[in-house]
Amino acid sequence: RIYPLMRVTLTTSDGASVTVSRQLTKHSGFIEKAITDMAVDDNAVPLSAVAVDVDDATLKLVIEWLTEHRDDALPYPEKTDEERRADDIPAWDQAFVQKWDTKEDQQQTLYAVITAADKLDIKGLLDMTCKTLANKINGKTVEEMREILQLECDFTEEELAEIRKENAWCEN
Amino acid sequence: SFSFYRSMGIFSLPDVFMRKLMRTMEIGDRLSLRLTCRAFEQIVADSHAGYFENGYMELFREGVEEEIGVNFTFSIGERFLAFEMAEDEFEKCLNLRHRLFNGISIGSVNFELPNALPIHMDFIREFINKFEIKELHFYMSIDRDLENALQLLSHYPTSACLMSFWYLPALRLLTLPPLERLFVHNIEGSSLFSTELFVRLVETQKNLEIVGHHVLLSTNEFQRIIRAISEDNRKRKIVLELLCSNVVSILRDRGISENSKDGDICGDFTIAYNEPHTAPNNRSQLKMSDGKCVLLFVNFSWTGLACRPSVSISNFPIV
Repeated sequence: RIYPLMRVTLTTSDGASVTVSRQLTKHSGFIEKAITDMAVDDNAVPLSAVAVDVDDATLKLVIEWLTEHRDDALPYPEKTDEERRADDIPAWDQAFVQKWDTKEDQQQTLYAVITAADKLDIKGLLDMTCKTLANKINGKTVEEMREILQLECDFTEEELAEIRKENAWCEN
Repeated sequence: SFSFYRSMGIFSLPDVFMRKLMRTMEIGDRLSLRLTCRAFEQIVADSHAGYFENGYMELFREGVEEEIGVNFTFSIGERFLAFEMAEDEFEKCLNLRHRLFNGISIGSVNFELPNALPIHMDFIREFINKFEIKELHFYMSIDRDLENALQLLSHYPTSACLMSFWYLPALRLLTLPPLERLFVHNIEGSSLFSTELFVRLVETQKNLEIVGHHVLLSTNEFQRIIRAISEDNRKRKIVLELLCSNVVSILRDRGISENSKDGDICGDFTIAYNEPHTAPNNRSQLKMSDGKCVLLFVNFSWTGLACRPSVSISNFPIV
């Protein structure tokens, strides 16, 4: 069901308020549940705002993504047998992620959106961000992976040698 | 600004996301990730590897007397694990397997475990512990292979099973559970396959392929097999080899000859095509259908030339 006229006010973790159409929030399991818990009529305005544990800047990005995906089918399809595939990110979503400023900001923003997608239970956004990060890592060297994921190597040389020796059984 | 998240790192992301991410990693990426840092080495070990379409597992012994070792290969995705080891070195192979993933889903796995001993099967069982496999395909050359296959199969009661026999265990074939497909191959020239055994296998197995053996079927027996396939709601295909004279006799009994034309109706069947002289060896092929069942005769000769005709009977369209 679509509720084009109904609007929901969301309050963010940093005190901002955003009002959005129910057509967008229907993709968020968290917001839908909050509205259901308020026991309001489907076409009525909720009695109070829904508090979300997401900051204003991140929520704006989430809303931008939801606006583009407002007509996506619900419930979100389970894709257990195809979950490995990461090369099917829609062009709009790819551009959406790429426009996030510098390399460092892009990674931090990606992490922020991933966390928001999880908190708001938006499966399509979680899937897309997962594929985005997977594509950044797939096929990279160990050094490149450390750089992309901002990891410090905390192995000793002996430990690294031991793991490399084990890995050699599969290096073909 | 995103100041709240400025200090976020990969390890602060939700568990549900990390599990999802790790299910997209190829085996090669898992190998690299375990070298990045201790935390990722543990995440790799504790995470499910996701779904792969095909896998292959082979274990064979080689060497002589006390020098006997084991070659074990497990391939998945674009990688394979290849171990040459003594029988007391299984532990290190199992250790690597446990450090690579804690579970995996595979569409279909081919098992080639020729003459594997109980110690090898114990190792295989431990190796595939936490494997979800939709379809298992076993290749067998001796009775021990069959015993081992049945033993492994018991761990996958809801999975489909395919069995390829490269020997003929005759009556043991009748004791097999219902399989997705049963192949019986003969690599040592054509030999007679019991008609009674064949008919009973058609009754018990959904898809059946007998290659390198020939079956002798009367027109009535052939008709009974067609009826069994036609009346089954499941998708079924039977492939067998007959003697050339047997094929010609079955066809002539239906009023079909080398002169029958495409579109001719013979009883319930319509001839889709009849090609008496097909290049390169001038063999004949004929396809016909009654709307439920499709019959395809290939590599036969109307004039009785020496050949090994093959017949497919299916209740779905075949090309």
